[in-house]
Amino acid sequence: MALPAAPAAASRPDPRPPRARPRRRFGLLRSAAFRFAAIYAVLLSLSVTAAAGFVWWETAGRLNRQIEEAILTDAQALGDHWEVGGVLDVQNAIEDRLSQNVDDDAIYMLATPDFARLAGNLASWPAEVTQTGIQYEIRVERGGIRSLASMQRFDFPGGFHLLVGRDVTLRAQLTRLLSSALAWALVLVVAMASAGAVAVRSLFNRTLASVSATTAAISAGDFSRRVQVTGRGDEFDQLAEIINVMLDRIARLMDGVRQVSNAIAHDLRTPIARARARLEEAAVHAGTEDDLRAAIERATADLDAIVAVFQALLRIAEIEAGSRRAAFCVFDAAPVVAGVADLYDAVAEDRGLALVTSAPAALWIYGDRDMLQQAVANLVDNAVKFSPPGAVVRIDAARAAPGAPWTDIAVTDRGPGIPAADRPRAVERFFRGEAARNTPGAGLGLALVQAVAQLHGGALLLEDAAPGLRAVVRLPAAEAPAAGPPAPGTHAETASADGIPAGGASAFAPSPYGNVIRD
Amino acid sequence: MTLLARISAAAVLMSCLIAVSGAQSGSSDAPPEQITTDTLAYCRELAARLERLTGTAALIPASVVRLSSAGKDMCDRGLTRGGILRLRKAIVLMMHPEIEGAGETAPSR
Repeated sequence: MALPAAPAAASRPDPRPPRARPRRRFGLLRSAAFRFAAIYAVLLSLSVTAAAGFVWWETAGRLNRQIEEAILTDAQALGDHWEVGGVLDVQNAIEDRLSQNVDDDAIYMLATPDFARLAGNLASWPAEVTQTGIQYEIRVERGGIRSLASMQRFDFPGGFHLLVGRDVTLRAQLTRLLSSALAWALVLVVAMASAGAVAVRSLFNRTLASVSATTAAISAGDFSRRVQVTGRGDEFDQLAEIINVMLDRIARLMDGVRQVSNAIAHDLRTPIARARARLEEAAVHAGTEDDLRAAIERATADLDAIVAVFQALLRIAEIEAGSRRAAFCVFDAAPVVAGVADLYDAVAEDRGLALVTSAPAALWIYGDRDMLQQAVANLVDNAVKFSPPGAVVRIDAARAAPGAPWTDIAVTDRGPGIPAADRPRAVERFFRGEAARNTPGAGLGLALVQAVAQLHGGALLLEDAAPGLRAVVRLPAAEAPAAGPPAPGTHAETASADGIPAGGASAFAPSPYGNVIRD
Repeated sequence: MTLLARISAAAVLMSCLIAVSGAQSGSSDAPPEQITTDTLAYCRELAARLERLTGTAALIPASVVRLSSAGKDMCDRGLTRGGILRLRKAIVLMMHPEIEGAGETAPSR
């Protein structure tokens, strides 16, 4: 029988540790560092080219413009002579100009319609000068030395032709020198730009390498790594700080998940083990059907409590996920507070406590009525559970201050309170303080209240009531809806007199675990 | 062609244009045009013109006399460009005496 073929190599996971795997390399043009550096080099080169062009235009270009203006001015003056005295006057003017041309740079030629020379210092009419209005550059020779001249043609009435020019040898030399210098300067700039681009790319890669190395280490499991902050306070440092804050939060969240997992495993192991032990004992030692039934009922109660814990955890997770926010609306919290107070009035009386409530006629809040009821009920449940007989439990609901944007619903008890050192941890899941060791509960009540408060944009404040604890749910206040038919989304028309939903009071029956409220 | 490549090509083109902008235009095949005002004949012509100017002047600046003499001498010795330069200066001074201002003068011959 043929053996099954070995799986294709591509389907096997790479057994090498992540750091040993070759890094994916980018093509040069796809590299952001190269593009950065190339943009720098091109911008530098363009800037210097623009500057060089301006210098050239201001020097050689200005010289050209000056020569052209001199030629035009000269030609205009000779044109005036033509109008005064015709050919003869122009001839004399040209001879005068040449005899006084100390700089020896003027070039003139007056020619007949057949281009025969009448006056001037050119031996013959240049063949390439055929049109007027164009600046020609013609090679000339004087005394065996060749040079360059710039000249223009002008035509007089009667078909006579005039050529006016200037020797531009010096200008040509200057232009050549300037152009050569600028060209070499541009070569130098391109070289420097290239070197600068390499440096920029290196800096870019070095900066990103730090981030890449840190995130690679984190993805490999080392959550203690952080991106290096150089201390220069630049954009890269800001990015590094933001990434580090994000990593700190991720680490805290993962620690929280780890703690919750550990707490779930630890805190639920006992009741599960107890239920199992009871059932096992009943199976071995139960003598009668009634004994067996009683053992099963006790185990069922234990399992119900475990289910309630899981339900509370899911409830907290649902609240923290924020999905219920879509159903938020403006509602009056005063009846909600009054309803919770009515619900716990009997329980408080059984424990010998006095339950005092203070709330205005209306207290408008934007949020979820059911969640607020749960949160307030959790706090009252805690207060009743931890208060000694004869104490007073107060429920105070009001605006934090006249005109303040916050509404406070405070529950105050005279119990052992929470030490200042434990208050930051009191809202963690499964946290039980020393005072709560001997009372029933899973340590989820305050976590749920905080989740509700934060979902509403508020906060849970734990204060020392000296003695006792004052737990405040602080929520953003809302404005009362406009008078008239209730706006869609408000609950004013559907609220019952006591604020308890139609599901009945059983939805808020205190549970054996105290801090856990069943839906 | 990416934008980056286009910008780079434009920069190189501009550099080349600036580098070669000093190149001389004009036909490289045609012989150069001859200037006629650097010859011995022109030097004599300038000297004659200067003679005509000084002959009718009441007062001749000493610098004109010096320049005229030097110019003619240089032209005689074959140094035509230098001679022409001095004769032109002398003519300029005769035509525009305000250029030199007050200075020694010599009576015309």
